[in-house]
Amino acid sequence: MKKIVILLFMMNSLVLANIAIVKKMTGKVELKRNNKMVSLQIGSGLENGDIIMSKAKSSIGIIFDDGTRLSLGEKAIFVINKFKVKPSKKEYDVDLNLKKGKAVFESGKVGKLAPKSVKFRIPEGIIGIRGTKFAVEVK
Amino acid sequence: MKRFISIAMITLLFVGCSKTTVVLLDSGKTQNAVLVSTDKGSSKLDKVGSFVDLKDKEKAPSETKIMSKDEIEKRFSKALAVSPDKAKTFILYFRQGSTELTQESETVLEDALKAIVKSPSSMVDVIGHTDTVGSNEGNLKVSLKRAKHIESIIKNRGIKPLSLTAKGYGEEDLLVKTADNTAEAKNRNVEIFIK
Repeated sequence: MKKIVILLFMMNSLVLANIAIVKKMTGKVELKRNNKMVSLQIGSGLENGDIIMSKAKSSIGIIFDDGTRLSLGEKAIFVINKFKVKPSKKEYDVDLNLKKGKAVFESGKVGKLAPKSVKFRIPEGIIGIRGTKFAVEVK
Repeated sequence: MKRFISIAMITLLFVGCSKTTVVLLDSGKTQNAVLVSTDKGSSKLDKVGSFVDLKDKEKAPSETKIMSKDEIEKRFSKALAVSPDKAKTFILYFRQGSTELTQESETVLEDALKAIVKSPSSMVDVIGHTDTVGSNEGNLKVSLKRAKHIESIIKNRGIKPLSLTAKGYGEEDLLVKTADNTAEAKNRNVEIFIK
């Protein structure tokens, strides 16, 4: 019985591998994961499904597994619906959503290997990338 | 008269309340563009500083205009200030048919190790690459083997970043673009990717 428990735990940690980490931060930025709020710090890992929320006078910069960089200004809400960049399996699927606030985005390896697999959603539509750095504000 | 003034103000407010703005920034690369789409149309931004405003899913993006560098820096200053540093890439080459590094690459490896030590809260990938000679599957295996070899060197030095992962990309991410079945020494390498 013990063995099974350990095996399950290991599988779980493999599935939930970090897809991005926090590199820079000011003020207070929280993460909503599985309906629980967690405070973020430099070095915190991020996962698929995470919702990042920056408070007033706060900001955050994260780097994804492929070198894609994203930073948010204050009072932003940003959702990582999916970040999958696996060149060894030729699997690419990136789905991000800025619901509110200001963001700066610069694509990493995915911008070179599979730019069309990136969807950056905003309330009015979608930003598609072609190897890119851009800024966006959602009011 | 009063009535006229209030109508004018409402109009001004309405004009000024675009909801979302997308602006293309300087990436330092020549290939740099975004395609902004709503249900009713798309706009391609391919000049640095070009931007569109969006009001609604049901409306096409505004015409493309240019935002000055100063205005971009002012409007996005807080997000720009916490933009993470670019990932660092170090590329290692091997002596032909061996797992021994070339003399030059020995120096590059030392530089990479120093860079890892300097940024302890980083994720490090050791990524093997091959040229396009041979099968995909074979190249994936060879590239992973080379990557693991370099990963073990890093581990043996006791250097511990936040994460250290060996990966084999085979012929998927070529340094020099070639056709299939092309021998290219520069494509047979291991990349140390620090982010």
